[in-house]
Amino acid sequence: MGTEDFNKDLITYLYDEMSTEERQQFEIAMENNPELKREFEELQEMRKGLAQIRDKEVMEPFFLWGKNGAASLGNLFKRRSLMMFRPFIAVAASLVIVLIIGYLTNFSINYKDKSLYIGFNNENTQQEGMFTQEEVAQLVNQEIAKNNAYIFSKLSETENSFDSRFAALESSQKMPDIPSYLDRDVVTRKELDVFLSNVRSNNLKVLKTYLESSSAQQQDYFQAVLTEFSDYVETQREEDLRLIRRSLINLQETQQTQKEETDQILASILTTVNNQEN
Amino acid sequence: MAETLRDIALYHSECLVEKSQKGDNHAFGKLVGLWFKRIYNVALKYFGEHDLAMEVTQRTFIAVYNNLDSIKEVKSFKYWLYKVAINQCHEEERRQKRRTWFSIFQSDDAKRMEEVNFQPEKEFQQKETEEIMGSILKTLPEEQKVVIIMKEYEGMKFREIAETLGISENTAKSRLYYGLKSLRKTIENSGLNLQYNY
Repeated sequence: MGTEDFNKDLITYLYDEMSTEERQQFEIAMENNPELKREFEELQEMRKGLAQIRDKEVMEPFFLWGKNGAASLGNLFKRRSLMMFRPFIAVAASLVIVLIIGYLTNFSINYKDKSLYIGFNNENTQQEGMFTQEEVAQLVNQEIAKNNAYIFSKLSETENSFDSRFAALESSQKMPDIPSYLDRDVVTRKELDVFLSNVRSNNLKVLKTYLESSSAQQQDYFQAVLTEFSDYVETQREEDLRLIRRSLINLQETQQTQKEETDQILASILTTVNNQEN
Repeated sequence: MAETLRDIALYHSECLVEKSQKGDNHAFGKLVGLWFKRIYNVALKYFGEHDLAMEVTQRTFIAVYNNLDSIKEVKSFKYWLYKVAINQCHEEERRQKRRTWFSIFQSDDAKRMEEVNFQPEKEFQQKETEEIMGSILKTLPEEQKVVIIMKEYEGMKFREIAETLGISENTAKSRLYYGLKSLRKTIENSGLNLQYNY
């Protein structure tokens, strides 16, 4: 008997497919051949090892049987081709989850003026259109400097204007001619009175002209100041209104976002409750 | 003549096949229910992976449904069913090999087998014997693996295995012998000391 035959007989004996007579013959052969017996024991040991793999319980999927063939719903959803992309799908799903969480928590990262701002709910981030304390101080200082320059230029203009008007006034108002009798050594009382009266009336005229001119100038100045103040108030009002409008829009957007989040949470709760009921 | 449960089940299968061939989908549903677990476990032992086993089992029954008319002898349904299942296993194996480019995302079982081949004994002792045996069985050549599954787990006679696979009984025995020897060699080379539960 060759080795191959021994091997086949060994397997047949191992799996109990020999007739009684064959079995007896093989057992005698095994008793006389320790090598064969050892091999038998090894294979038997191997069988014990294989017996450790037990059947698994499984739920059969839902099949659709039809005239045009059959299909399994499980097959439709668990194609190997899809499973092949499972790692990519997992990565994409993780990214989507991160993005959703980031959106819901208002997570933001900003890089501005060599500074990186990371935060939730925009509390730690610098929003568009907002200024830091230093920037506000700088802006205020710039505006004050501009305003001072403007006021000084206006004052200077006014001063120049006054000077020119005053000069014009002075030149237009000639001193009364000195009467010839003042050249004499003796002047009568009457002549002196007349002279003084002329001087006084002349002075009065100059003062009156000056006051009128000054009053008109002041009136012009105040009018200009009032106009500018009115413009400033109007501009400020428009700016305030714009700020209020922007705040209202922000408030409206925040409310809308909160409403959407609440809707999502409610929908999630409803789905969970429905699933539990089913 | 005393009938075993196995004989009754087989007879029942044959009746269901006949009904299914006449267009009774309900009967075919019952037939699937009767054999689904067996075919799933054959595929599970072949691949050692639930997803693949489910895939192959579903493909098998879809193929059976689509080719019911080709069964001439309902008595040989069992062999025919196993033949379809084994063919589906081979096809799936080929599909898997074609996807080798995707090996960076190899399955857990593949990783486990690497460990079986290259990791020291300490690593093995922490794993379940069943898991390790399943992984080692997977590494056998297809021909030997199929015969071991059919004989050891499906309890088929050598004559039945030969009929199912279209080979001689001696070839079946030879494949089984070398399969068992190969398993033993793998275990010895790995330095495993498996503790069996009976």
